[in-house]
Amino acid sequence: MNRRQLLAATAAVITIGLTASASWAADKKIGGEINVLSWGNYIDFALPAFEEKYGVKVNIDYYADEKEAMNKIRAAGLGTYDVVFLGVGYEEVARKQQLIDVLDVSKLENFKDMYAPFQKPKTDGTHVHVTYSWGANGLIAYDPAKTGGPIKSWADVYSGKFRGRIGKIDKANEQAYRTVFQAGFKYGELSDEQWQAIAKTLETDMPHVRTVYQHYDEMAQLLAAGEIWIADTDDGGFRQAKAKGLNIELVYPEEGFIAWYDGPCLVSQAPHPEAAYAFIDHMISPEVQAQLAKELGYAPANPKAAALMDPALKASLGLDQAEANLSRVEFQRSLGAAYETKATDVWQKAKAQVQ
Amino acid sequence: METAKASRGLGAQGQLACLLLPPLLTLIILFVAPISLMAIYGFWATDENYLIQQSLQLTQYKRIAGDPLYLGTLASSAGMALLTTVGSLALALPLAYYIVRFVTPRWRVLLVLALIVPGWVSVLIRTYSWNLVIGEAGLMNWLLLSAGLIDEPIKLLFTKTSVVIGLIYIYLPYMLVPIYASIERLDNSVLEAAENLGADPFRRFLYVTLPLIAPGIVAGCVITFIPAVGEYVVPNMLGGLKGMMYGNLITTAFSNFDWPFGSALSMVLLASILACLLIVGRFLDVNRSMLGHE
Repeated sequence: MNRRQLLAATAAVITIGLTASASWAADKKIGGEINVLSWGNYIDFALPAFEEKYGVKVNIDYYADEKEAMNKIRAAGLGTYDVVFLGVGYEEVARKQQLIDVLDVSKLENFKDMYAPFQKPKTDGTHVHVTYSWGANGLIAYDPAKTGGPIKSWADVYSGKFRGRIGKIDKANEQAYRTVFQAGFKYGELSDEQWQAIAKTLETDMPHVRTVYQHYDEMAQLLAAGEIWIADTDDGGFRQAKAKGLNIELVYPEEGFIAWYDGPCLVSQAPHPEAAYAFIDHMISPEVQAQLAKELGYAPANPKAAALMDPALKASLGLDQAEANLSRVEFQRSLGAAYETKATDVWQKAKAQVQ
Repeated sequence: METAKASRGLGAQGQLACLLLPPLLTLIILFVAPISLMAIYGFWATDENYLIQQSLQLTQYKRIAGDPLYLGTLASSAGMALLTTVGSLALALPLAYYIVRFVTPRWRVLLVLALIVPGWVSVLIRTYSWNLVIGEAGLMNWLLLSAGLIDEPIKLLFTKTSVVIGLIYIYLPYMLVPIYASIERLDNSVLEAAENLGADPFRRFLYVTLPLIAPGIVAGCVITFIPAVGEYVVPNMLGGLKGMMYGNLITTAFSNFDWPFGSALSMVLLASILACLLIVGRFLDVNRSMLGHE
């Protein structure tokens, strides 16, 4: 065996070895179980593939909002849950409350493929969550057959033509930022005068409102029953309602809207960290991200998912402009408990005045 | 002799203590401890990171007293609960009277069961079913439109009326059972004596039956009114925007991580209900009403 043959043989052995180890890694069965806290009907479709691939049983526990999730972690005690889905600033709150750990993104194979803004660390250089889905909120859904024409703005909604046919989401924070744009302010902390202006705007709007709802599923039912014609929505809520066969249109209000993100975080003292990292990586894989878009109508955070998606779905999600949109939109963030208390007071009073 | 008596006495006391200890411990663990904890939380506050600061202060109670929203909503919730109580009484009293006096014992049991059994189904499902009945595209409007009695659907869902309908539906069994029990216990000979003494059916009901079944009526009113004041599921699902009750304010506070504020709101509700019971107790012998004896 000359030198060239020796090198070729060595290369072949290394190649075979690497291929074998890669295939071993891909099929690596971790075993055991993990405990995950998530929104209902949000990640369920992705679990069978994960359980089969890694041999890990996923115990899923649902919550209605992020605060309930954080309460559940605290009530169960650290060392119970492994992964929790948090977003729009709640991951920062959870980190301050030491409920979640810093993530070592080098352990996530798919992380390097995410859209650039989703790879950015927090200001302290750490990552505490990975973006699973994102989209726009503060939007409007309407039934064109009932409204008799297009709607483009909040000014259209509250023009007086649709009195008693408008539905609003019963979440103080959302009402605060919707009204911030409607009143012509910027998203962020607000002065007392701005809060007064927002309260005044809501006071004027509320007599036009037929009802409030807790979830976008409820919104779809109200639109389907004809109880309301126009509704507060986010893009995912709209697409899920549309998928149920509702004849509705989506509006990005001229006055402005906000973007949201949401994704898995590693709970502090997670009892199954290896399975938790594998799970988080699975949730941002192109396959799961493509399925997320198909099943729930949320835009993928991993652009590699686009290659696995139907062209019509890609077009409806606006994936061609995703990079451009991501660089332009403003994302929600934690504005603190005082902001939330103020928003709650303003919203409760707005509801009370129409009692 | 004395010693034997004492040991027997001690033994009886010991037995009594053994009997009372489990319920007493249960009461302390499941009722006294959580309520006490809630009372303490009401004097705490949350910081910017939603973390609870355990320093005694009156911030939460000042917030409740300083804003008419909270006490105003409590008053309107009491009004809704009163309407519910009156409505339930108006339905339960003749119903219970009819079942006891005019239905054979075999059918009586079946009828009472038919009224109580729906209560075993989740309150969420029962409340949601009203959406399908009174909604704009619901059964009621379909029937009325089909019969030509109305030209356009009645907007009943998401009004205060729909909340009261839902509350009466949910709380009717609470009113019915104690009234039914008190009517069933009525001594027929007393009613016959009234009749023999010349009382017409109306006077007999007013002066004999009603005072005798009053304990059941008071018990029914109390156990309907109290939970109805703090109700939040029914107003949420059937009232929509028009269904804001005090219970919804408490739910919002707790779901906002504001446990101290939620606790203070709950303590105000608890104190108000206790005050109501004390006032009622001054006019009526609640002990007798609730326990059904002198």
